[in-house]
Amino acid sequence: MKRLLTSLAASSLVALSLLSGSRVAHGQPDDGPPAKEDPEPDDEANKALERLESEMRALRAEHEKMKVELADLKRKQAEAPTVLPPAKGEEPGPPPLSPTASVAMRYDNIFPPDPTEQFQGDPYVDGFRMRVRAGVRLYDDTSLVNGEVRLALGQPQNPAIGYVSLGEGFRVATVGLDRYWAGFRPFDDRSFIQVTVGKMPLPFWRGDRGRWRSELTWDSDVNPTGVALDIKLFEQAGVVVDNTAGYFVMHDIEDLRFVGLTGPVSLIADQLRVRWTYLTAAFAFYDYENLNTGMSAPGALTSGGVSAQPAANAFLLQDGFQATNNRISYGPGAEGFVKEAFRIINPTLQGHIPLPLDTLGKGTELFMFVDYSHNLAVEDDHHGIGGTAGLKTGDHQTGWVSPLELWFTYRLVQADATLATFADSNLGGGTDFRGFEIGASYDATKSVSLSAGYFDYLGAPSLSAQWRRFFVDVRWDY
Amino acid sequence: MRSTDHLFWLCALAAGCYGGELTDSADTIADRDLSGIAGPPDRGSVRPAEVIGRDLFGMANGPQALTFGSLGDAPRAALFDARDPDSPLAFFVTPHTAEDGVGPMFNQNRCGGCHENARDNAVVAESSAVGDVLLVNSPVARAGRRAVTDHDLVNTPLQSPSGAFTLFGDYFVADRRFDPLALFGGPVRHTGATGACFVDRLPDEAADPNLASGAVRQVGERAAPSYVGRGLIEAIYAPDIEALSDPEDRVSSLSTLVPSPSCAGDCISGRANQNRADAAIVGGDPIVRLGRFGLRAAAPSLLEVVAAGAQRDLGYTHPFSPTEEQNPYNAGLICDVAPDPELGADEVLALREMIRALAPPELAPALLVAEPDDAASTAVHAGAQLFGVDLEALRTRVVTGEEPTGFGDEDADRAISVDRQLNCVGCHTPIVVTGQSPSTTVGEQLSNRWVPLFSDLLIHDMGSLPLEGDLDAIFDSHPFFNGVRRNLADFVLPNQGVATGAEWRTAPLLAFGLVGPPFLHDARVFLNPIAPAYFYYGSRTADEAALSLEARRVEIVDVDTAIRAAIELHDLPQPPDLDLDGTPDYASCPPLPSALDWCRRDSPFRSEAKNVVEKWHALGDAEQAQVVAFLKAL
Repeated sequence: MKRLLTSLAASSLVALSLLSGSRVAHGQPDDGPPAKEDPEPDDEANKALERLESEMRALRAEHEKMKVELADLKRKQAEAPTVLPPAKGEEPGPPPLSPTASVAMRYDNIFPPDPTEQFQGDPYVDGFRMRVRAGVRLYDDTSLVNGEVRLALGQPQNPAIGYVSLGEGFRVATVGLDRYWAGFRPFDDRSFIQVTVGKMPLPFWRGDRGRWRSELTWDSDVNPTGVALDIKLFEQAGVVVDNTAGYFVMHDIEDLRFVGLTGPVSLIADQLRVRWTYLTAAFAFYDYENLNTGMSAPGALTSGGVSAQPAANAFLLQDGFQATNNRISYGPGAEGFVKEAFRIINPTLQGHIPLPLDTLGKGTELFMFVDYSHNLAVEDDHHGIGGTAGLKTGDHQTGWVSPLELWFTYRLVQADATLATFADSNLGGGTDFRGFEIGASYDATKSVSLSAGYFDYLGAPSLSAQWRRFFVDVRWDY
Repeated sequence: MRSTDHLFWLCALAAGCYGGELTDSADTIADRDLSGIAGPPDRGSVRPAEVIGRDLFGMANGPQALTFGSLGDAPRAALFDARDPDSPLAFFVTPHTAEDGVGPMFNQNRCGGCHENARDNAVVAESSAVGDVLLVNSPVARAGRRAVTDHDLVNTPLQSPSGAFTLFGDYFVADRRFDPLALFGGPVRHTGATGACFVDRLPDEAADPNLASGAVRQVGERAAPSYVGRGLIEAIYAPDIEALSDPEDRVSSLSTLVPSPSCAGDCISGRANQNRADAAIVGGDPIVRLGRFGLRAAAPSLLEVVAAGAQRDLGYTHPFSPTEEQNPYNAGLICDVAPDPELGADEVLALREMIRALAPPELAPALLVAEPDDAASTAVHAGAQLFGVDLEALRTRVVTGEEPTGFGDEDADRAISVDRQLNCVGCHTPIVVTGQSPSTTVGEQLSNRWVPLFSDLLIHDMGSLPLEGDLDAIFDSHPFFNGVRRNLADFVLPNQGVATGAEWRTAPLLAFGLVGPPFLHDARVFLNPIAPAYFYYGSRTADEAALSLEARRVEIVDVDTAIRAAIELHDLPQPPDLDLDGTPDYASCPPLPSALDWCRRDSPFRSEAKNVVEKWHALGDAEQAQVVAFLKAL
């Protein structure tokens, strides 16, 4: 590319100097009356001059054209992968290794409900939170194996929350593995099948317009551990059908020394998705098993006493998790889910309408998303429904604004509509709520973004407690 | 700064710190709705409490019979429309199911299950006179009883003879510590269970390691009192209750009755209980406050009572008490079918508001006439005077439009006469003044009122048999312990503040004559005309002392004898030396070590009411009947 630029510049300079040289050579001053000229040499000179001027115009036009081409090449170069795909028949090399990093700072302000007057000072809690993630990613469109290892700073026990409070008492901050996964794509058409193993990004589709994702059943911070299989089943005439299936383990207590309910708390899941231009529909089925694993209760002994085993709730209802599902008592200090298994169907539908507002930014559009969740395993409190409408606009190149998104979400999620542990940690804090969210995000530069959200909902228990919350995030991504 | 200045500031600081535990600023009062903190009264604008006519009081489950007439239509309908399933009264009286939230362990399936002495009274009314007592179950009824609870039978399908419930646990005598045996389902023994679950069983003593470590097993019953006047009790300014205490028994009182007290003062040395509500309910006040609710006044806030009743007796979980009661016999059994919490905070608070809004009845006209004009009112007045009531002060503080006599005088404002005679008023303070009620619904009706509560809301030592003694030997050898049990104390003390096993709150006698028996904290004095309970009255003369025990036996077959029994049980049995005019009759009093001699008149095991009961014994039949007539007029 640099060679191309250099040759272009050189040819332009040659042409320009030739033109100016001829004028100087002919000694035509700009001031004073024109001297009488010899007609024959003058004619030749004029012809030569006209020829040169014509050449110069052509060169100028070519120069302009090349400038446009150069700009286009520069843009393409910026967007192109840094490593060219291997030639046909050539063995693929290792995928490129890219460092990733993300640092986000949040100001969080919560007006919690207080039916029990636990807060006897200000009626709100606020503070700064932080999220730091860094890792390496192996990925390209053509490689057989992809993968990622990502570290995260001081993650709390709640898997749906990625932010931690500032400080840590100036101690050394704890760091954990947030993701570690490998994906295998055995066919030449890499998009046909992928098998992913490890602690992976959530493989289920929850919307794909801009940054916003539905979190009715899955919080965006959840990274499940297990195996997932993605298959593209059909692609023709703009219609793509694909399917994601998976088996994930949340917790496994082996039946060795633990007195109580044992076995893996697991999820078998499948999601079928159909995409067509402006519409995408998906249907998911989530089967959670052994939800009461981890629960134990002191029991009566035939000798007349009581076994001294410690009482414990089901693992997913223990402290630290979002635990707004209905719970009942199975013994002293032993609370569990209403049913041992949850079987949830989750149909979703997304649509988007492009808007002719390119002055705002390329790809300006309205988008809508409807989400429904139904737990087939329980008899009550098993419905959840949500809807989102949003606007996506702006770009970094030609638009008036950088990428900007605005959205409004309303949800009504009954207590057992889905597993609260992994549901949205912001709107509702799990399940058993009814309320709305107003959100916005703005990418000030390609690496720095701002976002804000306001949440207002009636939450657990039984929609009796009103929560209000807003936060502002500043995020830097590399 | 001079040294005296330092002293001043130190004292001020100390007083402020101490005062901060039991008093509050206006801000904290407003903030802590759950605590139900009363503000000080405006003594210049105190008025008689608004009452319901005696012919209406508690006669139906509706606003006319239960709440203040001046309460607006909207709160009356919201709180007292029993036909509206969302009203707290409907919740109170309606039997609930496991699907609603009852269980897995419970004692009653409705609040009314512990407030239905009217059921028993209706049964008794068929065969004997129960006077004017209520025959309708409502929130102003108290727990009923028709027989002594047989703990071997409570798990059978037979209908329980008692609306009372049983507490159990282990009491460590040396360090005065109570273990509620929570691992075994304690301290409340549940006699009902939903689904396939089992009821609580008292744990086998052989398998109880506490008992080998200096603890003694304690079992006691509790009967829910009437909820009448609880909003007024809540509205009393805490320092006004504290002012009634006399823990050192320094206060003596004038009485023209004999015998004189054998104490430094009048033997009555009540003190205020203190506790923290956060030990009882989620969201409870983390500040030590004066206790006033519950049979030992262990609860500083009314909400604790409502929360405990809903959760421990009905098995309803709610945000203030979110964990189900359970026992180890049900481990793994699915008998709790309703998801938690089974009640919302607003529903529990609505129940509290309804209880606050329960209005007291008017006193009987015979008591309120300025001059008695017939035999009945003459007897009532005479009984009131024996009780120690200043009738004029009482009348002018409960009748609207009267000018309170002796206003500003400490005794007159409490309607206590100069001659306290029996000195029942030493504990049963006739009139108390409410301050600023914390209720937003019914605050106007509860604030700045003269209330004929007949209680100081303090806890008093009501006597106890020595724990170290052989109780069985005492019961076997002392005939007075036959019949209704004479020992009021038990050491079942789950979160009971500073109260000891012998200390009980002075029972408010507001509506006493209308609510009627059974009496005492466990309803041990009950009516049953078919199989009557009985007690032995103390002798009043040397001649009576010579009577056989059988001749002193009184069967409790009507309200009058029940009241006499309840008075008699205010102390341990009469000391034998009074009978024999000198030499103690240790033939009827077990020869325990002298330090544990509970028989003698000045025994430390006797009740604070011992001198009152001595004077009661010294009254004749007619005088005792006058006191009974007075109590029935309340």
